[in-house]
Amino acid sequence: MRTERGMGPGAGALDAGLVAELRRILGPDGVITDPAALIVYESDGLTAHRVTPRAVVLPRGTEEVAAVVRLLAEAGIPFVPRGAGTGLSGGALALEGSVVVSLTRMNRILSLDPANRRARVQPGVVNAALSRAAAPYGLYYAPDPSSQSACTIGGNVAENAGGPHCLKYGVTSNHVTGLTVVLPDGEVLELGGGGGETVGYDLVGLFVGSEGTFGIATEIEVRLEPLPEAVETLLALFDRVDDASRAVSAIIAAGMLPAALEMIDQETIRAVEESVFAAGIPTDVGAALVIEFDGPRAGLAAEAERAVEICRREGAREVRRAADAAEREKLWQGRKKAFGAMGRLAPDLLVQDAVVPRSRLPEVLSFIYDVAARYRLRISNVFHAGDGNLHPNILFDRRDADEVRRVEAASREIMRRCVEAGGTITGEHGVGLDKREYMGLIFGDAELSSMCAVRRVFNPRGLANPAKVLPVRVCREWVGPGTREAEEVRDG
Amino acid sequence: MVERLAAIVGAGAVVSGAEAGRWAVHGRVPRAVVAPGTAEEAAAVLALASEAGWRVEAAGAGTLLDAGRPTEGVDLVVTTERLSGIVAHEPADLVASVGAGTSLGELGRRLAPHRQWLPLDPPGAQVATLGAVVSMASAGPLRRGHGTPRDHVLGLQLVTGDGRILDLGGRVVKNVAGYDLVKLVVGSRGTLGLVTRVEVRLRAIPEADRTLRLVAAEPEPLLHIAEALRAERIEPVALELSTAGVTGWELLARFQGNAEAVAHAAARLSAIAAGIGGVGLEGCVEEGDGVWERLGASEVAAGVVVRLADRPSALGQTLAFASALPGASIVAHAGDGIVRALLSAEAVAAAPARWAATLSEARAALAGRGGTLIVARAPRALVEALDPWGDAGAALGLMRRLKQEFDPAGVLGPGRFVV
Repeated sequence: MRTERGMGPGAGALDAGLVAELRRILGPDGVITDPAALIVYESDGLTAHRVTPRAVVLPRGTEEVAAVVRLLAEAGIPFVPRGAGTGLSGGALALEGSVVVSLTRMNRILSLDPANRRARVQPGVVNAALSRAAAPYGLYYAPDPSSQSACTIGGNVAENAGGPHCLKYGVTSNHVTGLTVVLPDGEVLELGGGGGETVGYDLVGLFVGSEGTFGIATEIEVRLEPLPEAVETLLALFDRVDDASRAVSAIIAAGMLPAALEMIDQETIRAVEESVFAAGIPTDVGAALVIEFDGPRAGLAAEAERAVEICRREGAREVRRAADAAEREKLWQGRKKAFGAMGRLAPDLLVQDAVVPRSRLPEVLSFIYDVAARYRLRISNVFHAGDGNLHPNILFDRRDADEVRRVEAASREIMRRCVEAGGTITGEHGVGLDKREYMGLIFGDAELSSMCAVRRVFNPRGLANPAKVLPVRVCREWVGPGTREAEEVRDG
Repeated sequence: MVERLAAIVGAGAVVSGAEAGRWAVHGRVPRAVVAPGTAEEAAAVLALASEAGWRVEAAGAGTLLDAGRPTEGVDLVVTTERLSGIVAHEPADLVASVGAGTSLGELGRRLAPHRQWLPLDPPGAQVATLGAVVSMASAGPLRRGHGTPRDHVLGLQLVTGDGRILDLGGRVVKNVAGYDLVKLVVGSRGTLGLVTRVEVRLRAIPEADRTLRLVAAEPEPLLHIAEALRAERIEPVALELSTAGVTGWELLARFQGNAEAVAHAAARLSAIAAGIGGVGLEGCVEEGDGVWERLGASEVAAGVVVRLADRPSALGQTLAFASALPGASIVAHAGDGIVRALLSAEAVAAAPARWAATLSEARAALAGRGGTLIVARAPRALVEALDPWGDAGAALGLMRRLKQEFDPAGVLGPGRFVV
């Protein structure tokens, strides 16, 4: 939308000699320069932002990534790593004339070690594929972004991705134990991994969530979790969204830790029920909660029963409980198909990702509905209620300039309100390009400057995923005019 | 120096001379000890230290100052003693903002009426301050089920070496806004700045909490039990294998959760133990936390603590390396593959060169397998002869440049950490 931009200064087709050299390293089908083929790479899951890259390269291993990055560094050409392109922050956009380094050919599980509950994978391994490979050993990979059937572990590492089950199990950074990384000058480094303890700073923790601006993770060591012995899934239907929010707080306050605690509101339920994904939820319901418990079989049914009682006490009109896996799927359907169903309702969808303290959910949700009414917009909410991680979806048509303006204004109001409630601007999607300008809402110049300084340690020439994460003005002020960094982050 | 500090924090918050003796670092008494009462005061103190080139040690209660490489000298200890207390606690959100100088014991007492806790049990938890535990990434047996400080800290306030105040992370349980500098600070041992406040994620106190104790003459049957638990996916929140203060070996397994699940897990463990010869089972329900306090106390009391770590599946071999150290008591996080060898300071100090050689060999053997050997605490004589951490690898250059950004004058614990 407002930040949509051309290819940026210094862009244009790559030098023929460079392309030949890249082909020599990567093979004939490892370099894409055909403009028609490049269109696939012009956006990520946030389709409002589009930039066609100059070229796409597809390395097959760490050495090839390092060789390509070295070559690009010598030519002073920036690059942006990319997994499946399902990100929702514009983080994989090829700004500033970047070359896209697609990691989809690096999709091998390098080792799976059941005795130590570890796996080592290449970044292009699809999230759900890792869990499938681990299942025969009674293990799985816990972080489960909604896009898990498509998104890659490498992309998850870049964004520090979350998912519905992060309430109990934590986000990506709680599960990554080691990385092989290629720095923006082509140096290959091992961070963490193996069986030892951290010696020095926790660079693995620092690298996870760096959104491709510190370099490229080419091998990832992750922790696997034992598959729970039993799962209990509930779907609780409420007349009023406030009652559903109170039930969320009451369940947590009772000392329970559900594996997932998700909410979908009336707008979402209607979209789902009007679609081919209809899940059998009455459309006059104000909000529905999907509540899941997992763990040892002993005591789990009793725990679920306690949650049922709490929901009833908070005014649930009906609580459904899955008897088997098929029913469980059915109860999850409204939640899992929400995005697909809403995609049918309008040409464009803007998804926010703010987090608020759980206790503030009722007031923030009612504020969002108020914003929707004031700006005459359809906003549906489908989100990780247990974490307070909101996902307001604003439906619009980007060909309607007036509507686009209203969407932008509504977006900003919602974001401000979430921050005022003690929250943050993004819980799992990342800052990327989309939320860069919101960073100043939660961090002061001192914090932003330190982030900029830390980035410079990894990425001194600004060649890795330029113009992302940090508001450009901060870095410019911090380094002073005329320096290399200031040139690197030039921005309109 | 004392006067300039007193002008910032008030005369009552600066000590020097004999009074500073208890803050000695490897026997070197600091010229002054200062206890800022606010982050702003801490910032002014550190800015002054950077300007004057005073070597600074960040401290909490001052019980862990000897951890690390020896120091050539220390000019100033900055303690978070006065930065204590709960800044904010929202029970409904299971989040608290806590002054870094608050001890874990005090925090636990404040949270208990709300049936909440911070599931961290590092050695010395009653007196250790939250700031120190976070700075040292110190964890205890509960790491198996609940993780280490990096998994609990949502945000923190850091006063950098040159006196900038940074509010990092946030107060919500999920947050990917910007770079995760919180992870960088956790475990950085005061070399990037002084942690003055910490935001932590809390948990509800579980309905049931039981510890079972199994004893055997040799570790093997207990290792088989640990392996059987893993294979059956019975998940204790703590699983410790130890010789400290007992005859032979003991395995302590702690289960938390709802009463039914805990009873079931305990029954399974008993059944497994009954099927393996040479094991005595002693339910320790009544002893409760006492048994864990005893274990933590043995680590605190040891003059020398050496940590040997490798993959959990290699625990038998790692235990063998540790047991080969003469006179060592052993405490192991059996589910995580981390073994602590507890040694007497006198024995080590009497022959530091020989001990350095022995540990160096063990370190090389572990490194060859992908493991590490870290000297967590030792008399000066040993850590002068043997680097407590060993090789940080090729990432050391990055680490040094990161430190430079937070402590440009290089006054924070110079030479004491890896970086």
